[in-house]
Amino acid sequence: MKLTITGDAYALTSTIKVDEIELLKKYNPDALSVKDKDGNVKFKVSYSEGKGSITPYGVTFGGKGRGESDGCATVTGTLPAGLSTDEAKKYVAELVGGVVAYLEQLEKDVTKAAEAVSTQRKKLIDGITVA
Amino acid sequence: MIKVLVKTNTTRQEVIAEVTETPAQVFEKANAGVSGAMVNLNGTVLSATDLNSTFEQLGVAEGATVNLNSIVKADGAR
Repeated sequence: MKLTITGDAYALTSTIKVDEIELLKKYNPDALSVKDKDGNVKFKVSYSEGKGSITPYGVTFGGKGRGESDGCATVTGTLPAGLSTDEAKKYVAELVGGVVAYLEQLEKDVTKAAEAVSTQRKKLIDGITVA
Repeated sequence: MIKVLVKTNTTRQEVIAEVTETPAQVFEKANAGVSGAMVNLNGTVLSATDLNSTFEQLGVAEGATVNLNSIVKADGAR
């Protein structure tokens, strides 16, 4: 996960790829959430083009990263006007503070889950006989 | 994301949902039925059409916590 401030905007870039979210949304939605011991969802991530948001209950990514983070899920927002550099950093830290732990946990698990789904799908596709 | 507190006559459950989801989808996730029930979102009664409208369309903002109730009134109840 990487946080960037440019001008009056901030961006949260995850190591999770948008393609991985889309794949898991379809084949294994449970892998996109963190659950408590009773199985209730406490936090989840999703992707909705152009409609990103960070809330205490989850992160909806709204865009794709470019360059070195090509394809990675991002959320971009605007900072209140007139903040100094330190104030801007504190504002962003306040915004993402509650989600960092959950997001880092999901970043570890989501990629593995997406790889498992891809492998399973490839196996399934390879096993189809065309008569 | 929003937190939806789903309540029926017999159950209470929390569901984390997206604003692009509908009350009908949340009831499905919560295994809660709406047959013969009066459904309300934060006290506002929902019509059959509203059940399939997104939370966003129903005026729910990102990060909100909302109550979604499905209450069956038995005969004689007020």
